[in-house]
Amino acid sequence: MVGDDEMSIVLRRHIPVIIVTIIGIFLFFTYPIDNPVVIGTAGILGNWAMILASFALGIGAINMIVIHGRRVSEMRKGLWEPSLALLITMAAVLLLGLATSVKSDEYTLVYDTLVGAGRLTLVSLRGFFMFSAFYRAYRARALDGTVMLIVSILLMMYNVPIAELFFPQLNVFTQWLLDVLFVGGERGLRIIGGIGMIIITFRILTTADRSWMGREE
Amino acid sequence: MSFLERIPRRIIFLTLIIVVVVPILSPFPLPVPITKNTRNYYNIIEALEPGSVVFYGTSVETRDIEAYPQHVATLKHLKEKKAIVITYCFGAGTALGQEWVYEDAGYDELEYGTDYVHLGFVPGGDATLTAFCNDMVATKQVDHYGNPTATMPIFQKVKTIHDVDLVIASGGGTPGPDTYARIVVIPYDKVSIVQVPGAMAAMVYDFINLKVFRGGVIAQRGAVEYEAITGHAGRATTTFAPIFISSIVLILLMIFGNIAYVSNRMKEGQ
Repeated sequence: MVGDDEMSIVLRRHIPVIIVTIIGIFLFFTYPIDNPVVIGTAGILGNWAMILASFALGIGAINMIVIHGRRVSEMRKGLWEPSLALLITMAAVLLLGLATSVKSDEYTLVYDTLVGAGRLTLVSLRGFFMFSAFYRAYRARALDGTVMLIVSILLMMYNVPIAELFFPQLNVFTQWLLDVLFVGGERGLRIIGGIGMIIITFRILTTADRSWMGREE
Repeated sequence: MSFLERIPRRIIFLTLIIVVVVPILSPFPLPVPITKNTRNYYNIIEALEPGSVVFYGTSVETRDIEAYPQHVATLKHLKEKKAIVITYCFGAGTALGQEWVYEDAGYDELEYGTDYVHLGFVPGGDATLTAFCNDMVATKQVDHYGNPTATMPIFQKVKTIHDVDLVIASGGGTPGPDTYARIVVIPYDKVSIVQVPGAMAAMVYDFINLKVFRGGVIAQRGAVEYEAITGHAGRATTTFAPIFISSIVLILLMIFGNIAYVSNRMKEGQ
């Protein structure tokens, strides 16, 4: 007889690992194998992924309600007011969307006035702090800091474009920096990231890494 | 000299307010030379035949001064070329923001479902985009507004990514331009161009050098250039003067701040 605990471990740990390993290996081979059945099956799996992602959105919403609902019910100091505002706004926008549609003028107005304006305000405020931080933090304390300072100034002059209007030769140098040094660095990072991803995928497929399942109990 | 090294924050903020507000109240035109990337971006769209199908991954969330004018100018240009546009979003906010872009570019005057379709937010990132390339209708069965895609005239002609003539990638993160490059452009050998905010410019220079993206509108400067080249002066052009002046002020502050810093350290050393 298999005990409840052992069955639970099979359900929670072994079955997900088996599913992920089989599907992962299958999807890996859909790239080199040009077969309509294989590609079709991969498409079905892709659709399942979209359905799962939609569920993830729902779970995220529920999680948010639970976390902020707890803050409100426990009246946590300094936290319950914004949490209550969040829950009310969330419910109002949801009800409005269900009652009208995402195309309705009312829904668009809410998005324009709340999300659009709010986001722009945050970005604008950040601009002030960045302006101040650039002036205060960029100091030529050491060689690497000095190089970073010079490159930052050159890039600002390129982007605006002060260099092209007043110092055209400087712009040639900045263009070289962008085309050669930046691209070289970016490519190096991308290759390192790709190799890292291959290693992680291999570890997941061979069950050497099971951290994606959360904590082991 | 020590004052230049430690200018109080309130004076810096006040300076920034002045240098931003004054050019907004009395704007002035700035001559912005057209870069190779923007020129190539323009040429790719300009070469489209009427009825060409454009798959456009959009990323506008607010009426900002980078992504928003890039998108509006691009759609205005596509409208002139009588292109058929399919928009696809990785985020729920960008799906709503794209409604403004269609309206502000005048695409809403055209016939929905025939000249353009807004698929809206498509969850699932890489996996869904991969499936979408193989079968668009099966993967996205309803558009942003809940209309079934299967009956739309566009999708009688466009079934898979093979039926698309041009891919336009945009965005400021992942999923974003690199996702379109990996899943759509490179595997299917599609002609593609890109638009990104300045903070993400470094991410796409490599793709442009490798010709994965044949052209790019990069940062607000790119949007200003593109608005100039297409003759549709818009938000990027009108808001460029404050950025220009504030950048000059910031550069001067950084230079004088560092001169003061070095000078003071030298005095301390003596």
